[in-house]
Amino acid sequence: MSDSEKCAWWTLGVVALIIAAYGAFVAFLGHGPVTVSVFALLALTAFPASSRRHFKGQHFDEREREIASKAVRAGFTAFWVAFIGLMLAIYFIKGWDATLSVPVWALPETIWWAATLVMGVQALTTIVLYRGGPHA
Amino acid sequence: MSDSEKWAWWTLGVVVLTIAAYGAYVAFVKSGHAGLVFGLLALAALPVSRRRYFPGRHFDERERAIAIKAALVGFYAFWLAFAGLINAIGLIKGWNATLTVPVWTLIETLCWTLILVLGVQSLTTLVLYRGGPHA
Repeated sequence: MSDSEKCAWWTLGVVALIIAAYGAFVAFLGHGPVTVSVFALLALTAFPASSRRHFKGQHFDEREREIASKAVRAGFTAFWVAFIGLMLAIYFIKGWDATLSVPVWALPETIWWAATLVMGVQALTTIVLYRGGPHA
Repeated sequence: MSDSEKWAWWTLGVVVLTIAAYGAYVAFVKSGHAGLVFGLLALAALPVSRRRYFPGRHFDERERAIAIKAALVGFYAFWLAFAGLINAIGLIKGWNATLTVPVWTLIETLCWTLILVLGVQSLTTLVLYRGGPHA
């Protein structure tokens, strides 16, 4: 298994852990400003040696580079679609002339959810492309 | 000039026109939603060169590398703007405040985001074709 795949599996595990921990946190302790602390678990993505492949100067071969590039694009595309979908959903649910009130502390959560989404989709795309995609 | 460059110049023009029209609307027209001017973004779909994906035309390797880099730079700009805006709101209003916004401003935000992504993508395309490492 290549470093990219190891990193993808690890990242996917961390993403699943964060979603589970967030669900448990909200279920048992409620949703408040401290909920965002769950996203500290994202730091685990830096834990395995394989995640540091960019910094050690290891190089991808052509196939690995293509997969990594596609995975990053898929991650950001998912973020883009989610962003547009969220805006339009709010618009359709509340109406054009309504007013939206959100506590400011809840806004950073959207950054963390976006990071989780990008990393999750990126990892999933990497695994799919290594295993069964056109690059397999 | 390649189709990508034509597309980039046209898109950059549309982006500049939209920003100018928005500024003019806000400055001179006091009634109605300034968001109407974002309809100008539809002009980005006008030139034939923007259809390069659909008739099955293929990029050569260099064109593909430039298109991918340009799209990624556009997304990175979006990511930075997204995180920057949220942190700016938190720092300006305070984390314990409540943000109250009319829903139509969200749709405007969406249009501004599209302008940012398209603008950065077309600008990066032009830079990479002209003077970048892919030139």
